[in-house]
Amino acid sequence: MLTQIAWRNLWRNKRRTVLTALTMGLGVAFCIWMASYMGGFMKVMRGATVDRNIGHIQINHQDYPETQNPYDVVPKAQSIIESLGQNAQVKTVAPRVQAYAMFAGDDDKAAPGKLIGVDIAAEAKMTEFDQRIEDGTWLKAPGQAVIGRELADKTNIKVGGKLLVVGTALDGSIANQVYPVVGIYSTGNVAVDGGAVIPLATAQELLVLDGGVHEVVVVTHDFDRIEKTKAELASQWKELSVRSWSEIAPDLVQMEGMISASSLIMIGIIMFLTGFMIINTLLMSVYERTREFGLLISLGLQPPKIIQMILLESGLLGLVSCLFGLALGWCAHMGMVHIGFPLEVEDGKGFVFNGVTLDPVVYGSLDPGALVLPLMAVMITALLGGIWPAMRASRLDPVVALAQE
Amino acid sequence: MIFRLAFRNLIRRPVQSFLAAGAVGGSLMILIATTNFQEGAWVNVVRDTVRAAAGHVVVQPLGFQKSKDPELLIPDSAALAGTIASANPGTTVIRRIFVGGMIASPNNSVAVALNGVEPEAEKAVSQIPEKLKEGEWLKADSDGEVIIGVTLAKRLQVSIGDKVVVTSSRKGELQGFPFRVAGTFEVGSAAMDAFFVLATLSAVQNLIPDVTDPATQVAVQVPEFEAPDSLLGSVATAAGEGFEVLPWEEALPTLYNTRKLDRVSNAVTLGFLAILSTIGILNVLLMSLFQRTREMGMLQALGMRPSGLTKLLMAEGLLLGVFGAVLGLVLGLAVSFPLVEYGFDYSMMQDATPVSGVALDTHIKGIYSWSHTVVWTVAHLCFAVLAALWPAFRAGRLEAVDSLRAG
Repeated sequence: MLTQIAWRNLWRNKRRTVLTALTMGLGVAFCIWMASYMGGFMKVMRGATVDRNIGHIQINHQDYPETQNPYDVVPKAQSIIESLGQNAQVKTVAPRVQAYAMFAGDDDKAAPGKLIGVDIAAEAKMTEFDQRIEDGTWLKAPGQAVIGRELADKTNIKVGGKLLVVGTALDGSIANQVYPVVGIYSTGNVAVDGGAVIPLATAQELLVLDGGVHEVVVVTHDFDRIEKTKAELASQWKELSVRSWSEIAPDLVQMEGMISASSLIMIGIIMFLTGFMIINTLLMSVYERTREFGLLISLGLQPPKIIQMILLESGLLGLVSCLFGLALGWCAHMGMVHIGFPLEVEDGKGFVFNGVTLDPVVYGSLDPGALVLPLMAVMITALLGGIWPAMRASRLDPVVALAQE
Repeated sequence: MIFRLAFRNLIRRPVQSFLAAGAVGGSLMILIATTNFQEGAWVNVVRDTVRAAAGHVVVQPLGFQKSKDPELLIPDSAALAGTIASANPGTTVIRRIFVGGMIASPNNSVAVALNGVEPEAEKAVSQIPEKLKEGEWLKADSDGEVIIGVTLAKRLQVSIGDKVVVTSSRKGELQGFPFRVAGTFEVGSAAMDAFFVLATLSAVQNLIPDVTDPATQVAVQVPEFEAPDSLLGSVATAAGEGFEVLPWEEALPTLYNTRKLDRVSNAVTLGFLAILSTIGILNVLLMSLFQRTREMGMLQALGMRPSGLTKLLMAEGLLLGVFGAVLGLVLGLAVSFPLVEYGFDYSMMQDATPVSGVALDTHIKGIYSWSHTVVWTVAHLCFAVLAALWPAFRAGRLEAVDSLRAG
């Protein structure tokens, strides 16, 4: 009953209600657009660093994260990999070997970079590395190499050409080998794209690792359960280093924190500004109806009921605003998904951020959870904005109010 | 006369007028404070990066900017630097050389970026000498020494005085050169602390025996934040043919474009806030018009022309805008004051972010960006007048007879 009256009161002045709801809706829509843009940005960042490089959890020799010493291989790596294969939480697991080396082709151009040895099948399954090949094919047999786009540009090596790798082997000798290049990849990760990838056994042979690996990379089924899974694995292998992606790339976590902090500030600012409007709207509607309130009070409507009615009006106004905001925000999000936001900074290349080359266009990606905050903020602003006008209306003296024109 | 009427109309409804002006003032305050802080941050970033990673104008081998090929070199660089310096008095001319290579200790070997610098000149422009963790900065005669990052020192398991071998390639030949670690630095950027190595210019030149006195970059800097436009042409003339002569905007495209992108996205966000507050004014003016329909009819009946009503409403919008703008200006400058005087340190939130190979200071101070302040203030005034247009136009079309019957 009271709700119905409040609803009708709201629509007695259509223009004002629509204008107010539209403004608040615009605020919500802007927050949604921002969440979609930031979500898309973080998705690219995570894709390039976590999904295509770090994985969810890494297991190393205790000292390896600190020193990256090539002698610090994971002890009994084979049994660890087998045990992880049995773990219900684990989706894929793959071993890697890492080292730095000088690379050169037939031209006299050489460049230093990162050399990664991978299990061909497991790596393709885990990081979909085979999907990142731009020219040629993914590794098929031992003794082959694929190289990053940046390295290819620096050394003028083409698919079908030769890659000379010079590094330091574990026995102290100079590791020196030539491999045929079967493909060129581009992952977006600057360090990986400046290096080369060869099969695990080939790398172990080159560096005289005697079957050792430097890291065991794990991708789990449940992204949100990573920390728990990590703790379980850490208690299983106490003498090893077990780290989750957030420990390996803390800057990414920091960035997410910065982004949510700035969205929070933005929501706050928008609500602060639209708060002025909603107070204004409700105050005006209370002024306009002074006589009417006088009549209602003299007819016996209790002041608490009047407060309740005006708060209902402001709450309903907030709800309408949310609907407007959702509709407008959905359109903005769809625009972000299909058209995207240009981030091109160098011809054809996106922004380089924390070692990741972003695509020239960022496409929207929206986590439904991001909707909760702006919508809640609108409702709270609307209800808070209704308090003062409601108090004013409830304190009216019916005699004075009725005497008004 | 019109303005007095408009003013009285506004103070007749103090709460509404205050709320509308408050929305304008609040939005302007946020815009001014944000812009002053952001521009201040960029001034710091650009100054530090331009000095440490390039110069206001850089002279490089033809094609280097695009290919970053370390084999491209400027021969007889000291002579060139001397010519440029004498043609441009008051500037500082420094030389650098960039080589990629491997650095190895008995424990590990890592791919690094080796930069050869003139120790004294570089000390004046780089932050690394101030961020040394151990050891000492390079001296003119410390040809056998390198300065490395703390992360790299950990990975190589070396400390001050230990030997490392730098391997680089020249024309397809690999050569190793022994160095001693003279110092370690920590700038707070993971990439720089792990992959950045400094040595003297002459030491790195020794790795390239087939070119006399080579350098990758001859950088020209002025003491001011911005170089005069004439500097580029004057340096290009002094350098002569056979080089690329670039302003910092082209030599450091990532920095320049990042700033551009940041400015654009901020303008979008802040412009949106301005629109929100404009709608607020529109709402107030429209409402007050409808509330006062009867009054408008009365004014018309007393002989006021429709254009007079339009002017009245426009005047109300303008006054609201002026009041809001003054409020916003005062508040905006008040909020800017601590940001400019004391700044803001975000080091507890984030590591130093490297831009174009320079780790930035995490303590940021704003500046008073008067051009932006004026633009935003005028824009808010214009928005307020714009918001008044529709209600004013409607007021001009009111029929006195209908108006008097209303309400």
